[in-house]
Amino acid sequence: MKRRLGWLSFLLGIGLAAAAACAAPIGYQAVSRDAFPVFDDPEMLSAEEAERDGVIYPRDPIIGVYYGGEAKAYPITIMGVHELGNDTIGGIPIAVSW
Amino acid sequence: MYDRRLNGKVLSFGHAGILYKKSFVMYDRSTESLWVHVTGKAEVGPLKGQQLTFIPSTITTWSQWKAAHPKSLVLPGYRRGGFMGTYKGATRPNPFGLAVFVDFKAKLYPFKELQQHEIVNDRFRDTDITIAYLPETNTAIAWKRHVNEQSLTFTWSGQKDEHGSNALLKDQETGSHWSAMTGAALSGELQGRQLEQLQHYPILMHRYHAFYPEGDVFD
Repeated sequence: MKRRLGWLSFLLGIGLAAAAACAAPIGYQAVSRDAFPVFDDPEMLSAEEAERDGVIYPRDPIIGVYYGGEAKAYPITIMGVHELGNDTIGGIPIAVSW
Repeated sequence: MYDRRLNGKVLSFGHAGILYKKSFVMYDRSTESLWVHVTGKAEVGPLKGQQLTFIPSTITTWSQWKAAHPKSLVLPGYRRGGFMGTYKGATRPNPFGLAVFVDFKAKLYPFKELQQHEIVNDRFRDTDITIAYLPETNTAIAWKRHVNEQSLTFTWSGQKDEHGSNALLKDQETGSHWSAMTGAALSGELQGRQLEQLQHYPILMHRYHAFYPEGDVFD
């Protein structure tokens, strides 16, 4: 009986330590900070280049933004790599997140 | 999508690696405050309580987008490199809805309802809005339907534009034709006028309820 309690408290200890290690001020720390490669002011491709290089196909889902006379498309599969990016559109700074 | 300007400064963001209600959290590199990317609100740190301004964006297919914006630029990368995340809108739309924002208050339009109506003329927080839904590409877009001190009531025109795009709306008041993708009046009495796009994004319904427990739902 004593031995079993020992094991239980041991497991509880591991659990608490793990919880403490994952604790964050909000939510929980799933991966380390900056584990996702956030992009900054990326060099964009023209529509022709993107299609020619196989970056994008007609049925691919994208996040599109049109602002200040400028249009940009962020393919969702590629956003899945970055999750987040800093860019500009029509001269104003934007954050793109997926 | 957010405007990175806040109180006269430009923020830049990194990935905090934190999950909150199953969505990631970002931090701004100058104050290291933590921002929930779904809401654009800072929840921890010196900027706690601040709200980023939305920049309206649209989730659609490349073909639908390119027909409206032939000169659109494209973010490069490895097409098969990433995850789709939880978005399966094109094949599994039912658990998703379109969250639409007026004055940072949310209303959800379930895709199930949008598929049934194809266009919804609604009023939310004293604003007349229309949600246009294109079933072929499972694209939903929300616009303010107030132009020239006049509220417009939209239907699908059933016609195609010169690019072969099916995304043509008609207003019942003047019979003008509008692009559902750009919000521009292409012909008729109101030609040259522009609708204002509302912030909106598709979101899993249960996640919407987690982030916006007070949020409205269209039914």
